[in-house]
Formats: sequence, C-alpha cells, structure tokens
Amino acid sequence: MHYLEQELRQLVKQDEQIFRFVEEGCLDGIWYWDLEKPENEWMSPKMWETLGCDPSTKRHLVSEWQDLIHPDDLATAIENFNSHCRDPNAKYDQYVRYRNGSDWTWVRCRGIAIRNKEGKPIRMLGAHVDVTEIKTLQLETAVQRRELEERNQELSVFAHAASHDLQSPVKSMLGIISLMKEDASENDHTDLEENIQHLETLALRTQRLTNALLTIGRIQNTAPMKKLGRVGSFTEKVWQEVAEEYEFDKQSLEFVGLNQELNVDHDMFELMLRNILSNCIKYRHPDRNLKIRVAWAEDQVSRRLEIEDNGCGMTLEQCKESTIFFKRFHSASDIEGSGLGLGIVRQIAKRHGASVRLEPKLPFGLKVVVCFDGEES
Amino acid sequence: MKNVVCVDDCVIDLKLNSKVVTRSKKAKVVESFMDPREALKWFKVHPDAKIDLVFLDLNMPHMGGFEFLEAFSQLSFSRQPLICLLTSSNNPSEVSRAREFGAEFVTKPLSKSYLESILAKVRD
Repeated sequence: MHYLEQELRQLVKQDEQIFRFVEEGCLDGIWYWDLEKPENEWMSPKMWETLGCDPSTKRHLVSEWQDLIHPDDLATAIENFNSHCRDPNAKYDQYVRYRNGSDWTWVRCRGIAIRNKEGKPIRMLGAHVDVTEIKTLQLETAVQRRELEERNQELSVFAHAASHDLQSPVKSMLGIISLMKEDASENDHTDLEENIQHLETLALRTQRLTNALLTIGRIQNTAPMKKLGRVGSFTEKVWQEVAEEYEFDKQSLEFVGLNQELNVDHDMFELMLRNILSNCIKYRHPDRNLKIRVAWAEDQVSRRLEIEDNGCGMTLEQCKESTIFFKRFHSASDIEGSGLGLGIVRQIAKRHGASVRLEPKLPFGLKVVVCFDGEES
Repeated sequence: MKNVVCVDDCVIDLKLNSKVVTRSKKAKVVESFMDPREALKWFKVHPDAKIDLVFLDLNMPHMGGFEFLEAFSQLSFSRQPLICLLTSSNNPSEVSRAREFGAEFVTKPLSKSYLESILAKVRD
C-alpha cells in the first residue's frame, strides 16, 4: 500500500473531521441499517437534505425512507437486498427515485452488508449519490432520440413517396417521347397534337409537385413571422383570390364569427387557407351547388377554425389516412393536385403550435378543423 | 393476337400503354380501366374473357395494385391472365411482393421491347 493511502486510512480512523469531509464532499447521504432490529436505520442529515427534507423532522426508522421511495424502485431495492444478503457477490446497487416535494430526486443507492462470523448479514452500510441532473438529461436525450428516429422515419417515407411521384410524370413523358420518335421516323403526325398536350399536362404536374415540395421545405426551415391579424380578413382575401383563380361564385362562402384575431405568420396562414379553400372547390360534388362555411369556434377545451363544405367528402378511414404525405384519394387525371396540399396545411399548423383534423360531415361534405391549442389531430 | 387489359388511374399512361400494345400488332387492348374496383367488377362478370395479360398500375387512389392482386387471386378464369405490375419506382420489397403473387414487375414507361418479351411468356 502506498504510504499516503496508509496515512489517509489512519487519519480517517483518528480524526472525525476527515470522515465528515468524505461524507460531505463525495456523497449525498449515508445510511447504516440494523438488520437484527430492521426497523432501525440511521440516516445522515445530508441524505434528508438531498431529498428536500428537514433532518430534524425525520426519525431513524426504515419507514421514513420507504414512505418516500417510488413503489417500483422499492421493489427493485428489496429484490437486490435479498440477493446481496444471500450472495455477497450480488451487488446492492440501483438507481431509485425519492419523492422530493412535487418532483422526484434520482439517487444512485449502493450498499454493503456487514456480516457476523457465520456470514449472516447483521448490518448494512449504504451511500447515496444524487444523479437527478444526469437522469433528467438521459431522459430528455431518450425523448429527443425517439423524436429524431420518428422524424427520420417520416423523412424516409416522404423521400420515397416524393421520388415516386416525381418520377411518375417524367417516365410517362419518356414513354410519349419514345412513341413520338417512332412516329417521326415514319413521318406520321397523326398523334402529334395529342402527344404535345399530354407532355404539357405532365410537365405542369411535375411543376406543381416541385413547387409544393419547395413550399414544404420553406415552411419547415423558416421561422414564422407572427403578427396579429383578423381571421375574417385572411379568409376574405384568400377566398377572393381562389374564387377568381377557379372562376367560381364568390357567394358560395359563408363567414361566421371571424372577428377573432390570431398571432400568426400572415403568408403561411393565407397559404394554409388557400390550400383548404381550393380543395373545397376541387373536391366539390358535381350534383350540388358548393357551399363553404368558415367559422371560428371556441370553448373551454380549444379554439378552432372550422371550414366545412358540402363536397365529395371523405370516409372516416380516408380522414385518418390524410396525414400521409402524397396520399391521393382521387385520380391525378380527375382532380389536379400534388397530394401535398393537406401536408402543407398540417406543416403550417404545426409551425404555429396548432393541429389539423378532418371530420366527415353528415349527410355529406367534409369539415377541416384547425385547433390552436395543440389539441391532437 | 393476345388480349390485354390495362388498369391505371392516369389517363395518359392508359393511352400510352394502349398505343404501345396496338403498335406491336401482336396484342390488342380489350378493356382499359382508370378505377381498379371497376376492373375487378369486370373480371368477376367476365371469367371467360380469355385475357392473356393485365398491365396493372401499383399506386392508385381507391385501390392499390397489391390490394387489387389480393382480390384478383380469389377469382377463377377459364384462362388465367398473367399480371404485370407497372410502377414508377423499382422498390425491391415491392418486386418480391409481386413475385409472391406470381406477377411480373416492370418500371414505367412500357416499352415495345419489354412488351415483346412479356408476350413471349404468355402461352398460346
């Protein structure tokens, strides 16, 4: 043994202050348990202070700490204690939670049984180290890792779907070009006009999709520039534009209680409304005059912008599936769209701490609800 | 002359496939469907249509290609058509799933040379 170690060991035996320093400096509590009278256990003042208790109010009884320990962790501690008593090689070492006011204090609790000549445990000496900070960080890191894994998974699905949907019109264009080459070699111009029209349609579809992808990227990477604005003004402005774009009757829209002011990014909010309102027109029912109702609703549970129409609607199953990017419920040839419109709406809502849910409306139509209180969609 | 049915939600792709088939002069498109559910109904009503080949799109809004295959495999025909899945991406898991159904798998666009090779696989 090194002479300094030897000297230190001697010092600990002789000088009470040295023991106190080790206890205070290295540990957050010491306990010493009488296993022959198991209700008795001495616990150092620092142990109680670490757990947010006044040591003077605590008696040296096992029940004092057992009342504070998390029930799950007590079960672990008892199991480890029994194993250690049976076999000295089985370590008494575990991370446990103690109630500290309204919070929990994480403690690494280690102990060693003191045995008599026959090897029977008669005392138990233990030490506490407060590991709350580390544990909290560990838990936060685990949550962040899970979130990252989920986002990676989402990105992977998104990338696959984006790649497929971008390739689709391009591949069709290549097929048409191949036929056009064949026609040209035979000097046959019969299908030329039709082929050019198809190429234009496919090019526009590709353009719509790339624009939507760029929009999603912009929303995800730009912090919203929030300013107060009246819901009614946004809706009126966007509806004017959308109705003009689709050459639609402006009277189809009904406003209810839209004087509410919201602190939102005006451009993003308008883009969200544009997607929802243009969907109302695109998915209108051919046999019904389109009616759209935009209303502000609030109660104790949430504050909501509700947009409902009497269009083709969606089934409950389709409403659930609408969270999937690129999920289309109609043929690309029937109704133009990138399959990203609702995705854009959800991204914008998310950037504002809001959420979106779709509800089939009876007897027909669809209701889009934007909840501004983080209510789950 | 082989009989072909095309199922694709994209009208342009339907026309494109139809042209490639017609120009081959070895096959003709008997029916084209934009909605796979309609195609399924047609096959149920026409078990004796003697269809040799079905070109089936994989990604469709109302019923996906594999969903179609599940339902199609329950039907019986006087002549069992060969199914060829047409898709824009070459996803290995989709390829192996297609094989489980005994279907062929090819990436779009349908070409003259591929059509000829697949028609050679169809028994007379």
